[in-house]
Amino acid sequence: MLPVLLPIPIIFLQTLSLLISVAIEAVIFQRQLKFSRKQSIQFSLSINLFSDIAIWLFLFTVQSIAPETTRLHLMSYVFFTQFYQVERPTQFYLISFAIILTIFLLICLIEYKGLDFLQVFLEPPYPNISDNISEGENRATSLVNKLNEAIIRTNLRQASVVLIANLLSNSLVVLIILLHFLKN
Amino acid sequence: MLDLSKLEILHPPRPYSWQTLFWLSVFSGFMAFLATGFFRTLIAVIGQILLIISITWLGKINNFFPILWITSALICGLLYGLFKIQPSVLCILWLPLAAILIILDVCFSKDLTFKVPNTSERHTLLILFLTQVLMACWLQFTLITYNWIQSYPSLLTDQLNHSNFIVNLTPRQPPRSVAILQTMRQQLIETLNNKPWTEGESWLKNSAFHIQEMYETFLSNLAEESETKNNLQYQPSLPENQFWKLYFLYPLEQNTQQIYTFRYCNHPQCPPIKQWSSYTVSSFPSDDPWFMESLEVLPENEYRLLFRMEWTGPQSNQSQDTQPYQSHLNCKVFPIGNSPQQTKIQCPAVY
Repeated sequence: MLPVLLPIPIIFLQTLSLLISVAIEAVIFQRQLKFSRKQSIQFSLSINLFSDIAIWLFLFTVQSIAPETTRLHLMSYVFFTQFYQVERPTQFYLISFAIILTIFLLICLIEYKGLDFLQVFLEPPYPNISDNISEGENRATSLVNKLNEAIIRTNLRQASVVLIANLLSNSLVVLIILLHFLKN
Repeated sequence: MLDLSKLEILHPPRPYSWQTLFWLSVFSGFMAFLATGFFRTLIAVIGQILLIISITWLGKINNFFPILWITSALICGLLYGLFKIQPSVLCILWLPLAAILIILDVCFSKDLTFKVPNTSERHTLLILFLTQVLMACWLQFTLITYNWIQSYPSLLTDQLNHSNFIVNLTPRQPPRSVAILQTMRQQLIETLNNKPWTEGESWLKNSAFHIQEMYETFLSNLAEESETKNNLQYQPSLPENQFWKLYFLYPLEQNTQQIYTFRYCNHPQCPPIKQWSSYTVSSFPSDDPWFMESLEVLPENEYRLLFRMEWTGPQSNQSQDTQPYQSHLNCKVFPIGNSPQQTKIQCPAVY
């Protein structure tokens, strides 16, 4: 007989955390970056989805390439909410903390650059330059230009806003998860 | 009774309609039935593509909202039939493919001209695509947990209800140690019962060696030993084998016990299983009922073979107390009849 395992709790948890962070970040974007209400929700929703997907992909990669012991830690955590036979606890938890911190910074980076890419690519196309250049060439050059623009663009103010928004929303999510753990 | 007026809906109102495509696909199905070899596959594939287009068309004209998800699932089915792509890959492909179909649907107007949707629309489409990818991630996570359970089926014995990631709806399963000890019990009875006592006794003197050999064979080809091959419990060498520890308690002489532990390991760095270790009695907790049984004073010539299997892999905190993984087998071996005496073995069921 096939086992029946459903990931309902993690889906619920992720949806909840997504809603919380989108709500908080949208408010901050609207206030600080002067987006419209709809725009700020769209932007925060899409960059949060981006970062969630990035975390999943990271975990899948770790799961498939990591040595057996790491996989066992992951498995034990997923099934029993505890790690399997931690030999040197201090070292282990320090490393875990470092990994979580790295993931958090990576999220900030992904969200910051994601916002740049979104802003550049979702801008309405320039209406007046397609007169004498052929359509395909125009599209290709404008794509390269846009890519360049998105990569080079460094808006310090935007970066700090993204960082603060993330700090706020993620700490609230962590707080809720901690409360959930304390209840058990 | 078949109501023929219901079939009226399948009558094409004009040549350019989903009904035409539907009948064309039925026709290709019929032709594929007649044809052979490569042409059969070709015609069948064309028929399936026509059927998919016709179903999508039907859904689109009725504004049936989840139609493109159905189309995507049908395309995945077609890909599976054509290229034998693994079902797990297609499962993950399903939702993002549906999102791509929706994007294409929005970007192309009815007469197949490309139009760029406006900024807000593009953003909505992007968010739709991302949600589908996120759902695909959840599907992939489910598949990964399934793979883990396939490799470590004994975890289903444990309480998985404290997990923050999954809910377990599988009914409680016995640990794999029960299956292993049951097979061992059968084998022991077959080997020892009705053997001349002299042979039986010499087997018993060497039992540590024999048991270890048996254990190794069971773990590596448990599937051949058992009739229920499809059962997860009876799978041959699984990664979880390394976590099973067999305690074999064998009284050497009256009131002198020796405990052997065997641990299966097929990793190249492991010591070969032949190097079993023996433990003295003092290393075993003395308030253990299973162990106390071995301390009973036995009648002369009676031997006792006691087995316990323990799990050393990942387990929940609760299972430290309830020990759901543990299982035991206690056998008595003694001679019966007059010269020549025969060996008799009694093994109650595994618990």
